[in-house]
Amino acid sequence: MSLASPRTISIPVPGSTLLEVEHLTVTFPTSAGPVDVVKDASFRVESGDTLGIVGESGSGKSMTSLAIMGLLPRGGTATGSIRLNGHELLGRTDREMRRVRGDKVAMVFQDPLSSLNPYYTVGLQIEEAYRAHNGGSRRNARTVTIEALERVRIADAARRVDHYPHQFSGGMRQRIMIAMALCLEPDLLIADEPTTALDVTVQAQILDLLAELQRETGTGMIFITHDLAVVSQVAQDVLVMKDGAQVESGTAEEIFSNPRAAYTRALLDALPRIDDPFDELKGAAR
Amino acid sequence: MTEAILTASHLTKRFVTRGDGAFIPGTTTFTAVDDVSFEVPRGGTLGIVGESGSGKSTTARIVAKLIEPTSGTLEFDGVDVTTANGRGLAAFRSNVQVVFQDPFSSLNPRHTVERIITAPLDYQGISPKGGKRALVRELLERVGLNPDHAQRYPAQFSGGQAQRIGIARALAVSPKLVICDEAVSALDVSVQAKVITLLNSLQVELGLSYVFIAHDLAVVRQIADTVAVMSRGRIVEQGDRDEVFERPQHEYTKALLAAVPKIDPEWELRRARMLAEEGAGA
Repeated sequence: MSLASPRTISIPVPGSTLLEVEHLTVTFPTSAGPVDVVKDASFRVESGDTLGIVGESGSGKSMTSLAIMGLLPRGGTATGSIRLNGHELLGRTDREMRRVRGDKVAMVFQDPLSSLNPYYTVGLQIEEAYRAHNGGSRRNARTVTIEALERVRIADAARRVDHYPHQFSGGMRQRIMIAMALCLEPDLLIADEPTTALDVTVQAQILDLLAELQRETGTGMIFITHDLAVVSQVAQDVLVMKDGAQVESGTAEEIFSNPRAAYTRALLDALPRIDDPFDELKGAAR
Repeated sequence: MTEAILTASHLTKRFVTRGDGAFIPGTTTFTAVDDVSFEVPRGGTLGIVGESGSGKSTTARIVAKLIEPTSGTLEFDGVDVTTANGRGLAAFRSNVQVVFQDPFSSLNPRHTVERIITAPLDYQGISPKGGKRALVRELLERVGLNPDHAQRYPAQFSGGQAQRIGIARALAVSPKLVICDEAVSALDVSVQAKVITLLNSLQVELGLSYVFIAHDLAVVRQIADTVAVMSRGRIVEQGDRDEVFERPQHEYTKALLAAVPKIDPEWELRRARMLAEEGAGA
């Protein structure tokens, strides 16, 4: 199942600390003075594990991931410490961060259609990403690409590799984005609302796929979502954010069976349940 | 069985796409809604669930009379409105209103809240007793907004507040039926819960009927009395909410319910116990 990669693959040690974020603060200048959109966040991701970051809109969950990627929007500054395999990422040059992205950290976004160029075949886009980081021949890149598409269960990958993004459904496009991220063999995969735009049955398939690929590769993952039920299924550890601040963190079991923070409790109470009539809501109104 | 306020019989909507004369040959017909029949209980809520491409939004648009069905009939309050136009259509529009998914794109950013809320009245040529201003204040209060904010613009409100403005606008003409097309889908979960509570209490206060269209089954479970499950333009299963959710008959419904992400029930139980103990201790 290994990819035809010319470089040696470092096997991550399970349970060792992959990413360590300490006192991360992200600040943007505004006409009313600087605003902290992430305030003093500290967390770690172990190899082979998934950290779920949950929060509502404006909680700072996406800004946290962009800070790790070194992709903050113009004007944004990050302070504190972000260490990947013990190496500090903050303060690196753009050029250095470009190596880190792809080689070490890859990202999957919410909307696969806007992340893919409509003018190029999906195969070409994955090949380019692969060769930008690993070099090698086009022929090799194409082999890697087809293998990657097969790994994310795209049927008839050898033919589909020459298709354009619009020829795929939303779920298939997200598989393509995951294939692109995975063929770079990142140590850390950041998935920012990767299933939010997808139908619920497709979401279930993508979540299964991510879990399976993670078991195979031992990649550490940060899974960002507003959906508590999704995070309860994918993450070992959970971080709850609100208005840029860390509200609560712990194992998924702790957060979901014994939430301490009032905000976490309120979020869990607000979550609509499928397997519970939740009649108090309707009862209160009737 | 409660009486139906709206009855849809054998609704079908076909879209014909023409080839471009060069690269795409001929014409193709796509059946978005295929022989769909349902009833909306008076004073109750019909939930329509389905994934993208299931035809639920096309169904909503037919029911709102934004588009006409290719075949089938639509009966509102005992009157066949399938081909209603002119005065008949105006009467229908004063009885049936729509709340859309994205509150901001459905509110004119250059208009004040007062102007937005009273637009359906102007369109209908209705002047409310006691004047527009008083009605706007009353409606804002009813949907849980500050009545003093009538002169503000949509951008000055949060997403949840903007959706409340959309609801107030729908209520301005005192409709009997409100069609909610993914009306809470774009909202954060805590805001979503509040808007659902609002919709439920408005239903009781005003005797409203709802058609509630959503992709989120858990949300539909909270608001609907009867549920129709759509897939590929057809209703594959419909019935009483608890029947459909607890004893689904159709394979598609089963698959859909199984795919909904859930928190480990063991964790949920422990949380409930912990909260109960804390409540008892306090």
